[in-house]
Amino acid sequence: MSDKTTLEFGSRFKEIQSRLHGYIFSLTRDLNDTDDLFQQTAVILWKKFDQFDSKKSFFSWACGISRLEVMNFLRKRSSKRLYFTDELNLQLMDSFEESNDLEFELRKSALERCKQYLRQKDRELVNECYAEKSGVQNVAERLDRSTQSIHNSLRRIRISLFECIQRTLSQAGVAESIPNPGTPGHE
Amino acid sequence: MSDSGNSRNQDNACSFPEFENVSEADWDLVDRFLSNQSNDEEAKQLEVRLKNDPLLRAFFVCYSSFFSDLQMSARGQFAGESALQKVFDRQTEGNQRSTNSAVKIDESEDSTSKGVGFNGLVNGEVTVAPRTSKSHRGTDGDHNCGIELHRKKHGNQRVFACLSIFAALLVGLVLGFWIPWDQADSTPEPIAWLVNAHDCQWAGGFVPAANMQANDHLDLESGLVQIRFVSGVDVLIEGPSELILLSNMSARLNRGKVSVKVPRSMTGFEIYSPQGRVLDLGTEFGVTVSDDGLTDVLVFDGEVDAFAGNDKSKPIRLLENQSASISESKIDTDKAVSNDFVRRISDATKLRPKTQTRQTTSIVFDGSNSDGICDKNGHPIGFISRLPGTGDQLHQNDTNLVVDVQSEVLRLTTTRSDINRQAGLATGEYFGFKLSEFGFTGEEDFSVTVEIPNIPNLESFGQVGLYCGAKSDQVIRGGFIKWGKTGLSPNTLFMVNNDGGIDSDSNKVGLLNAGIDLQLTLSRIDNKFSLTAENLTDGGSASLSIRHPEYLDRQNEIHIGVFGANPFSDVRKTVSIRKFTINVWK
Repeated sequence: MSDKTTLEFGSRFKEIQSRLHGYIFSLTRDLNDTDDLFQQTAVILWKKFDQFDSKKSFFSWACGISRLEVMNFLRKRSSKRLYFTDELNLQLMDSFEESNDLEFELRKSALERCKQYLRQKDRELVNECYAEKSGVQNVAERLDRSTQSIHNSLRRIRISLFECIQRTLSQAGVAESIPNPGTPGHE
Repeated sequence: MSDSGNSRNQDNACSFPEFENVSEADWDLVDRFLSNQSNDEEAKQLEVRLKNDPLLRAFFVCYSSFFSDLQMSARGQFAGESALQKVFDRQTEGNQRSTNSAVKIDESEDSTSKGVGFNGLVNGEVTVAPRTSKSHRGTDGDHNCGIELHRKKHGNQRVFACLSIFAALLVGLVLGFWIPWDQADSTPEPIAWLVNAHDCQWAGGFVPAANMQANDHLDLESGLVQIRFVSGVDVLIEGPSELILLSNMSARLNRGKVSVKVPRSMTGFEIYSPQGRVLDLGTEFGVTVSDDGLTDVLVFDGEVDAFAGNDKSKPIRLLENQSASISESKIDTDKAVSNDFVRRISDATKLRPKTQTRQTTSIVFDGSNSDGICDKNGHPIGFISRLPGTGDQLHQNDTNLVVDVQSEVLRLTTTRSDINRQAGLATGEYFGFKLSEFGFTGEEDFSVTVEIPNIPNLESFGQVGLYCGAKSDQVIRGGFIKWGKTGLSPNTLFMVNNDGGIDSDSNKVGLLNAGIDLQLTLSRIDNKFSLTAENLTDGGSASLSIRHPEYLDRQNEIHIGVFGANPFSDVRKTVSIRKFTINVWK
């Protein structure tokens, strides 16, 4: 493809990558699987980019493709993990569509900021636990704590961080202020 | 996709107040599910809850994104980069490109290099630099932009495309202030406002909000900023500087350079530094703090007390034109301090046209206009053309425009449109002139000014102002905007680039209360764009400049004019335009 097409794809992909990654994660709840599926989806989107109707929502298109990839992936995998029904996955897709990328990026920035205000040991715990798939197990062994205890700590930190993000964006007048410009609400 | 339970079509998915209505039990269900802690029963329960509760779904969207962000954050945003690397790895496998391409990659000679770092999409150019996998985590903040091309020993230059962490450029536009963790439940009053901002680069992309609180940390990498304290004290900060606001009468300069002007009617403003303190006694003075904390002070007018070290040290009084160098243990009044402070924004930014021959055209709305776009009553409004890409579906007699001859104003009612992401532009109100009609050939300095009396309080990112562009997706615009959807905060001055349909370089300063008479001027003088807002009611002013819109440099036809939009709301606002003036200097 031409450089122009490459740039256009890149630009569009970058605009939606946070939401798309979030959507795939919401279906798989495993960051490694999410990363793999995210990559797969990116490649498919790129291959099929010439079929994309630029008048339509790139996010919807990407989400549709990623959902099928996730479904195929989950069907092939024999896992005891619990997954939502496809009906709910479609509903969630709509909900992701209603959000917007700018807000996702703002939330991401707020997260980085909020992390700075965690106690150092909490920040280190989060980073260590989430940097690798076996992070919780490793940390539990290193600290000689149960994995449940680590999960409990992580849950406490997550709630603090999420509330901090909400407060930060709310104070900045953002949290409830950025509807999706791509929604039909625009004339 | 049907969703009978979805009542959120017009709402934002992550609306904060609504989340207060998410029960603790639901929150717990979501958290346990996303952290793979749920049992069968909990998962089924959550599915039922999610299917029937759109608010919970919205919460789930935000919370799962937060979950992935948290993990991605720990992994240094590896996923996005890796995904795109894969895409472009595939592309380049069979795709040798010219080294003259606009998009190039530096192929490392290190055979273990696999990662592609997406370093920034700026000015339409992209840069990519391969990184080893291990290098990802440490380079997240490195937004190196431009074009890079390096010949390696194998001489095999390949071309990759890359993408930026584009949002990083957008992020800087909002996260204005931080409420410290232990104070986060209270809502402190603002103690200072950003009044002027020129060519600012903020460390970490965190742009201060127009209104700032105690403990706000201003880390200015470059540019010039003026803040005004509630007390009336003006502080002008030159980048690189790091200033922490302490109260409405004090700030701490960790490094950098500031000039301080205290109103004559008051004293007591303090600048703290790592090695001392300067106490104002009714004055104007400058302070520089070097990286090692050494503090220089120079009094321009009035007098100050300089303190070395802590508060117990005996001060040295400095009078007009006197200076001192403050260290932890002493104050040296013999050392000459360089008088190179910027004391007024205008000193550095108010560039004057090189030529004095000026063609001025003004439009008033007294019924004398005989051509141009027609208002809803068929009266020509004097504006001739629309910004290409906008207004295609507006009526010939534009129902959003009314010339009020008696009041001699043009009333513009905003429509739901947004230059950012190019939404609703067929009915967008962006009208004005081609600059070529005023003798502009591409090189001349120019300015456009609009007077808007009695400005309304806009809602939900509503915006009114001036534009200058080639078309709807190559335009710089600025004016007043309501930053946020709710609340009673006033409008603020903003300026933003749009090259390709997405806003970038957004910046905002000042507070513009509803009811004031406002004069906006968008100018390009000596190839520098700036926006000035003059409050005609109380005489105040604010100004902004942002990254130069180089995408306009190549354009031989530039449109300028007025716009009004309510991008995220159906609440339309009407503004009055009293006078519109174009200056072109030849």
